[in-house]
Amino acid sequence: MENRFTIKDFFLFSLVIAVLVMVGMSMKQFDRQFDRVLAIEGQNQTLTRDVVALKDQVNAMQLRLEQGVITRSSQGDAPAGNSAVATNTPANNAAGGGRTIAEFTNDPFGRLREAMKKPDYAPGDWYVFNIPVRVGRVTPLVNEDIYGAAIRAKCMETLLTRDPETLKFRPLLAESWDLKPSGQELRYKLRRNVVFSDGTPFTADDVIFTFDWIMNNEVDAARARSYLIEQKVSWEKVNDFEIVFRMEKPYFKFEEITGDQPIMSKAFYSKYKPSEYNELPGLMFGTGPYMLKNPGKWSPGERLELVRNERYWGIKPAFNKIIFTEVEEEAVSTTMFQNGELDDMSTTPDQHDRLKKDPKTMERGNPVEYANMLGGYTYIGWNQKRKGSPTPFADKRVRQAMTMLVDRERMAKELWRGYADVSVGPFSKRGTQMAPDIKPWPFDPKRARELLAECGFADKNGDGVLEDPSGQPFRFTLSYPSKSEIGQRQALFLKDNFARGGVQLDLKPTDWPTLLQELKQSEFDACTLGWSSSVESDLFQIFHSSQVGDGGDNRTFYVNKDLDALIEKARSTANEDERMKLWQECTRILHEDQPYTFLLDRMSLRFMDKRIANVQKARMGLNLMYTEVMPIPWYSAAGQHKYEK
Amino acid sequence: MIPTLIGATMLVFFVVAAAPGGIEASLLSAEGNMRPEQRRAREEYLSARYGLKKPLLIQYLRWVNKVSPVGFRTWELDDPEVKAANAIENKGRDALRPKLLAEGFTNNNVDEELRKRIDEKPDAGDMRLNRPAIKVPDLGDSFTRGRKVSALIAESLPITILINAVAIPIEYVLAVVTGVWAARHRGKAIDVVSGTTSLAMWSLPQIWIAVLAIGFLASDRYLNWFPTQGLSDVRADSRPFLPSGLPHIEVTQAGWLQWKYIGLAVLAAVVAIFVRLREPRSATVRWWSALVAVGAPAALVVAFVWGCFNHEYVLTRSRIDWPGSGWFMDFVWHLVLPVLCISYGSIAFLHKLARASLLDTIQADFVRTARAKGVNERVVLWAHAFRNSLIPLITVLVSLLPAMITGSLIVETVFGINGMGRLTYEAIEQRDRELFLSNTLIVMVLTLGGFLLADILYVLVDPRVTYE
Repeated sequence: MENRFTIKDFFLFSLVIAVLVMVGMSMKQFDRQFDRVLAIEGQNQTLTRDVVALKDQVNAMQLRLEQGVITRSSQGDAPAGNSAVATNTPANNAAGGGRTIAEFTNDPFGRLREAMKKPDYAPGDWYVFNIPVRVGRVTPLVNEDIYGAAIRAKCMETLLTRDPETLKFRPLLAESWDLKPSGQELRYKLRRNVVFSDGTPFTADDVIFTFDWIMNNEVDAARARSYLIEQKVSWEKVNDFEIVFRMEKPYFKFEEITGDQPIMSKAFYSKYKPSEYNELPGLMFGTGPYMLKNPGKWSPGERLELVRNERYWGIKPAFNKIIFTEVEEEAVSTTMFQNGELDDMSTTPDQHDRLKKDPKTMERGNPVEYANMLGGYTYIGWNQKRKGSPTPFADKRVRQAMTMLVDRERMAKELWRGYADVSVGPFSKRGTQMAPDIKPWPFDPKRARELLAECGFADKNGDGVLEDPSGQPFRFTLSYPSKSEIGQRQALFLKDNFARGGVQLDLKPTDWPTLLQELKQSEFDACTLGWSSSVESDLFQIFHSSQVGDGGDNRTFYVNKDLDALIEKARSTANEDERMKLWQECTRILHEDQPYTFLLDRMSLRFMDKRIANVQKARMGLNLMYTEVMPIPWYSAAGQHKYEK
Repeated sequence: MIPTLIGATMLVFFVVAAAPGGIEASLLSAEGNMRPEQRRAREEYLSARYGLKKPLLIQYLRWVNKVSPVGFRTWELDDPEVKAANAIENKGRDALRPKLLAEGFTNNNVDEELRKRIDEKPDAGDMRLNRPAIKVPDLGDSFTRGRKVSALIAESLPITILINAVAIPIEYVLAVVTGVWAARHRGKAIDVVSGTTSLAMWSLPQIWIAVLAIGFLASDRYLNWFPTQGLSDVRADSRPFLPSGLPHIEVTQAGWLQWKYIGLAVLAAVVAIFVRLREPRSATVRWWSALVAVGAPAALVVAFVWGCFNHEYVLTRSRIDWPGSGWFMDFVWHLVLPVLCISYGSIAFLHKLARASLLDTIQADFVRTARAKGVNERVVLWAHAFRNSLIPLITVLVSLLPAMITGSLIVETVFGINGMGRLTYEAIEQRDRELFLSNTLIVMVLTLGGFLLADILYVLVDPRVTYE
């Protein structure tokens, strides 16, 4: 009993533990202070470096001034591609020819400049954006997903950027570019004033390094590599600020393949071996307007916080910080938005309508609904061949009839609550690839039945279900991904639609990996899925007859020789107007053949905080598409700043 | 234990492998949409890198060899033998390809045939059976993230352990106190109420409670008391680590806590104590002096807290800028809801267990003897009865340790905490075999650790138990 553990001992122990904990925590506090000091020291060093560099530049300029400079007048018609460089020379600014920079069509920062003129424009504040997954890595090229791309688009830049309204390329890191009419040679002139976020200059070596790095077989960049290999692209440095790409056969995506690739810094990335590069999650470093606080040091689980790159070569965007949260649960992100903890979240149609009816949410934020050009389309794919023998869907009249049995307008209205458009074909209606005169097939069960009767499908025994010529009921299975709730409702809707036309539909919700395998082996009757798209999409992989089978994505055995020829021709046509005509011709054939029943072009839905200003619609969707590299024209309205006052 | 480990991992391995679509399918994007042009290249790359074309049993043996500290060395991609073999393979295959294509193989199956016909040993990843070794266990690479599993676990495990290190003591203290209380008042209203409550708590699904907690306790519609998500505020990194201690200057200036009020309160307390020391006999003086001595400072604190809550400063600024806040307090604040959601079920369960086991011992003869001897009731309860009813509570700890990971699965996902639970959840969802296997392994190791811990604790609480 003498050595019993008494209350007094307990308190003594607690006290000792408490003291130890306090000591530990104080050490932690000092550590943090020390980190801060180190960071400030680093900033100081780079600042000194910058100041020295600036001084050198001033000296050099002075020297040149003393020697006498010929000022080029900016009144004359500066060639479009060259205009940007003209604005960058101090001589031109001094001449002040009365033309504002924003008027140059090739200025990538035009939208930002316009925003800066607005009365409520105020730089500063943060922008908090929700990503509904846990972000595993931000290192470029490796394991790319759409969210990683969204983060990277703020930190790394490409040679070209697309204008969200005109959809044309504009030079970003390039100052101008020149595609030979043959479409086989592409020459980029690079800007001379660009620096990476640590102040090191950007040159052609970085571009060469980026593409060499992609082609390095040890780098896990199979996706980016596939294009370069397939099209046999080669590149060569002309001088420090000029680079030329060559292609064996002309391919219309030449500019996209080369100009849409985030450029990596040679000095930064060559420090890592390919195996290290594949492993490290936080290697995101570039010339962009934002940067990680410690490029290369980020690891998953840490907050994804981008700070403004104060050395940015172009026009700096408004937000001081962009923060990404990683909330999956819909209920939680909604609450966070209502609390004002989120500035931007994407919503489902049901959620969107519910929030729109909620006055308090509407007080806090604006609903944003836009047709997203990159969003793609949903479709029903009709398999024309199973186990070597043709299915009823091999007849194009049957496919047309099937399309006419689906009431797509009602589907858009009821399932997607009006946030979707009836799809016409494989391209967005907003682009120029789609023939403008094509109208979607109408919902017309009567004509559908007539067409089916022509093909020998008629209700012979009067049970309401059509029979094929051999007397078997017309019945097929629809496979669709089982995870999506709206997909389930859509399948039921389709079943109902087809039943009215006398066609029996069996539903087969399938989990994604299984469905993928079924598609690979073409073991399905029909399936509903979606494709995402780009500003100018290629039809080759999906509809060309050579893509039937394992390698390609023509899973429905659709073969049309005329279409094949057109696709091949379009792919190798460098002239955009001619090419668009060819694509439009393709869409006419696809419309007639209906290898897919093109269902809907879904709209993108978001809720955004009221203080985020200058969010406008554009042809591509919004004036800032979050996965694309483009200058950020949004800002936090003056007087409403929240995080930094 | 080792056969159990092998059996369990084997089960997981083959179930994942047998899932329709196989591992390859799970490697691809989990979304329904993807850019068609880029898919095939990725597929090829991954199956070459992870040796997915090998027979399943071989793949499993390779995995076991890798994670086991005792095993064989493996061939690496950088070894000259492997490089030479690959070169021969590539050369032979390139030469044979046109021949096979002419024979009628299509682009789709020609690769498989080539692989069958020309196979040069050794391949990277093959075991070198002549080189047994003791080595560092390697958990492999995550398929979906392309990173070392050990790195992923090293990021996530500390967070989960931390949350549970807070939750488990709270669970035990609360459950034991209420359990003992209920056992002492057996059959009375308090016992019935606590029993019913804990039954209800035990039955409530965690995900529902978690979402409700966020909806009501963290939404500014209702009580915006706690943060919604994560483990720290977005601004926390720029704040001091420890509470800064002094109330913020703006609040003090606003009049809620001015020095004169502090002075008055201190004066009143001092006077009260003084009067009480002078007149210790009078009941009235004792009562009033106590009221003033405690009440004046208490009133000050209440006024201060109330002032904080109502003051414009606090209402317009977020919690991180409140007086006395800082990184650490913010972190504690963020822990409240997750810990609550993790622990309420266990509290209910442990409460029932503590009550039942104490009731068993309380009716035992030695307790009656102690009471008969006139031992103080408190000593009877805590020293005699309670100590002897600890064994079941310790046994449960064994299951509680592995449940750390499985139990935080939902909570971490809902609250957006990047711990082991969320990692496991994603591994299952994405069928990331290596990651999932390693997580299973860790759960099993924790079970083992739990057994060990329980055995040690048995000795501590029960002198009769020895391991000799």
